Amino acid sequence: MNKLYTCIACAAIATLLCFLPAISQEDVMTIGGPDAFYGFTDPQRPVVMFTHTQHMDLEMIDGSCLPCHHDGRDEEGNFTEGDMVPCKDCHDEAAKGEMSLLNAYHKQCIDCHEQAEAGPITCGECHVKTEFYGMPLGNDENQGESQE
Amino acid sequence: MHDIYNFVVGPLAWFGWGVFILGAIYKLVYAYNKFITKDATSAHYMSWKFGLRSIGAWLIPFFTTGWKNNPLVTAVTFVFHICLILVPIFLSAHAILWQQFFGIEFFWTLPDNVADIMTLLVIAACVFFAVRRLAYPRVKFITEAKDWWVLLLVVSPFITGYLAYHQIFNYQFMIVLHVITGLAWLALIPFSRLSHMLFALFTRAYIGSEFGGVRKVKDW
Amino acid sequence: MKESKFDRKIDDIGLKEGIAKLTPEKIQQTFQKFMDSEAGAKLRVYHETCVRCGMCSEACHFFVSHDGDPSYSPVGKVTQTMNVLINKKGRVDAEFVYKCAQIAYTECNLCRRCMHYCPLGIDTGYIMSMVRRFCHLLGVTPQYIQDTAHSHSATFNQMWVKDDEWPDALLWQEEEARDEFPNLRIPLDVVGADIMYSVIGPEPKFRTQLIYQAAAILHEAGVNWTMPSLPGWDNSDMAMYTGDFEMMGRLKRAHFECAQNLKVKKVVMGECGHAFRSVYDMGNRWCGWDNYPVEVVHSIEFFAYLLRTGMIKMKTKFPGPVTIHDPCNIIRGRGLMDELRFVAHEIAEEVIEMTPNREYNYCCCAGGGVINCGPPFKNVRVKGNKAKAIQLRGVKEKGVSTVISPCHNCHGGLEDIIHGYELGMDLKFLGDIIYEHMEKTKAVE
Ligand code: HEM
Ligand code: HEM
Ligand code: SF4
Ligand code: SF4
Ligand code: SF4
Repeated sequence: MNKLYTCIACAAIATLLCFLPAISQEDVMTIGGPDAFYGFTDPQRPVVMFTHTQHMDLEMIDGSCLPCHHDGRDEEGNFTEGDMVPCKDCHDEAAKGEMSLLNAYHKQCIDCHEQAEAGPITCGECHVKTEFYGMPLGNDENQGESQE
Repeated sequence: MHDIYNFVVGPLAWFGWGVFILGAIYKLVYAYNKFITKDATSAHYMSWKFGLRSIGAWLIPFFTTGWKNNPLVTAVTFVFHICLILVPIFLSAHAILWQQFFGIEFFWTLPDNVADIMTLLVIAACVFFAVRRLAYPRVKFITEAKDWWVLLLVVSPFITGYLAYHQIFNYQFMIVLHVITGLAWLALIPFSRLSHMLFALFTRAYIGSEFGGVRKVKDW
Repeated sequence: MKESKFDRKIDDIGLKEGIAKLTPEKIQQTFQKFMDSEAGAKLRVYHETCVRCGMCSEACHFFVSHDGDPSYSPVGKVTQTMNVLINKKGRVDAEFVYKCAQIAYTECNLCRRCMHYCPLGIDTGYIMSMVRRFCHLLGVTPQYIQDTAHSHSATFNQMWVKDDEWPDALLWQEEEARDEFPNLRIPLDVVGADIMYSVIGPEPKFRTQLIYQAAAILHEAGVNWTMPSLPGWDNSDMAMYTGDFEMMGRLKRAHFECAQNLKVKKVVMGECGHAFRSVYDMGNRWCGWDNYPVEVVHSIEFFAYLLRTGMIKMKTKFPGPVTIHDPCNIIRGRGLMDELRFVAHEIAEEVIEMTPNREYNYCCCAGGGVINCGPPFKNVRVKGNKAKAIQLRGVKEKGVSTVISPCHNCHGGLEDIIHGYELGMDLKFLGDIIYEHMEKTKAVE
């Protein structure tokens, strides 16, 4: 009996863990790193912190899922709405060219930030380094997020 | 800060590149015209065969008399120039900017940690050149103020680039400074000692032609 | 730009009186005109392109001989002269012009050894000859060499040899030689001869023996040759070294007109370096010729030809080891190092080489007109070529006491070095040895 409960509990926790990012998006997402959920298991640059809700609450997004979650373009060249999947499902990490994951992130983030005149646009504002050969640099890991 | 950044990577970058490219064209065209009019009796001896032969010989480290007799400078200068040219072109950060602004995709970029070491090598080489200028009488004697400015100019994008990459000191300030020094670096190539980048091939080709064609001996 | 001090000024009346006539305006205007009308891309690009790395320093025998005094390095000399002129756009005082002249005329042999060292191919010899040109335009030239240039303008030869003295000297040598070779002639003005033999002015003046020897060799070889009796016979060219390029051009024209009037196939010239340079490198360019209008064959090549074809056979070889001093104007200037070695090995029992040699040789320090600047600057040459003395001492220790060098200037320079450093060595022209040791079938027993 105990065994069954344990199994159910595990399954529940597992399910919860799986859906957690989707349902509780205020969690800070870490792009890059060993868990590989958003690509780049072994990144050259420091991982990037991304807060989902903070972006969804923005006026220019206004609760919509576009322009991030897109799936092709309509006649006018605007994005059409796509599935709620991580970017790397369509944008291949190993690919070259415009569709590569690297470009997808850079283009999506930086273009939007430029348009909004808010948010990070230079390398180090997203890829924040906290130490220099073991010496702490005093940079806040999440400083990119707080940038206006 | 982003306004300043956007200005330096926007209008200022156009300006810097413009000065570099137009300046280089102007310098080369001016020199070419002078060469074929005033130095026609030298231009006459230009030869592809001997010119390329000379350039080739001098591209091989420790091959020529000059290189052999200055082994330390040779080692340092080859490392310095190779890194100096490869890093700005194939740095991933730079490649991403090309992609971002012009949609130009690089077939290959330097891994960041390698580029990082190459940057340090460039800085170390500049320190070597500086020490040489201070300590070695034969170089000290011929050093003018502008040689120091050039050295400072050359090293500054590497120092600021390194500091920016590692986010030491204020990152946003550093990246702006980096772009400004990088652009100054480019823009001043045609108008300083760095113009040897534009002329080196031609001065070599000429002297190679003269030695090969007229003097019938090697120029190395 | 720092002004380095110049504490080795040497009194020369030509330079002194030359600068006495200068005003700052004149200097500046002359420089401006020089830059606008004469200097082209080479001078400007060299000025801009030199990265001041100092790699050329060690190339120069002056630098080496002065234990690395940077003011004697190739780029050091440019820094003290042309560099300042260009940077200041000619706004310099007369004293500075003196310094420029002294450096350019007496501390650089235009030997171009530094070309093997400069990674950017900056031709320091060319820059120094442009400094000389500028000094010439200002009339600031060392007295002795200017005297030879005056002689060139007045007589078309270097040594004030009068029109009648020249054929006299030839007839005299012919007479002398006929004691040894009864049928020998020095054929004058033979139209249609195969070869015109030409010499430098000092030969009839000081070294008539060389004309005798040449006549003997040409006679023995049975060559159809001639010598001109009229001005134009002298192939030497000090105007080239003072920077008097106009005169250089006239000299070359006169010389080649001589050859063309005689309708010869070739000009064979005596063992001289600078005269050769003036026909393949400088004079021809000034005249706008790709090359000489009549082929000029240097003695080295000619002797090699005579020995190869057996027209001259060696009865004996020069005994004992000899060494070779490569004259830059012929070797680094014209690539005759292998021919020279061929001849040397044909005529001498053993050749012991100095290093560096061939196109990497150290100049004798007399060339480029430096020896022609005369006694005031003799010490400059001797002190400035300790490097050569060390080289010579090196082969002397291996048992060499004879130096072969097919260039008059080299002989002059090496002689002073050999005396100055008490080396006790002999100098020989190729012609000396060939004449001495060849089979003389046409001579009286
Ligand atoms: C239009 C001008 C330039 C722009 C916009 C630019 C931009 C950048 C950016 C964004 C970075 C990345 C900094 C980071 O990782 O946070 C960088 C790094 C760097 N850049 Fe530039 N750059 C320019 C010109 C140059 C030039 C001319 C040079 C060298 C001659 C240069 C050498 C470097 C170096 C050495 C690094 C650091 C590499 C490292 O330590 O890993 N840059 N640059
Ligand atoms: C692309 C063709 C280039 C060639 C063939 C070339 C060649 C040379 C050579 C032969 C030297 C002298 C050796 C030495 O002292 O290190 C030199 C020195 C130098 N080069 Fe370049 N170079 C080139 C491009 C550049 C560029 C693009 C830069 C920087 C913008 C540069 C900066 C320097 C500096 C600063 C020195 C002098 C180092 C000192 O102070 O002694 N070079 N170069
Ligand atoms: S003497 Fe020869 S090596 Fe020295 S600077 Fe003049 S040309 Fe160069
Ligand atoms: S002449 Fe050539 S070798 Fe000499 S300092 Fe200038 S660049 Fe260097
Ligand atoms: S005198 Fe002799 S060694 Fe000296 S420059 Fe002339 S040819 Fe060269």
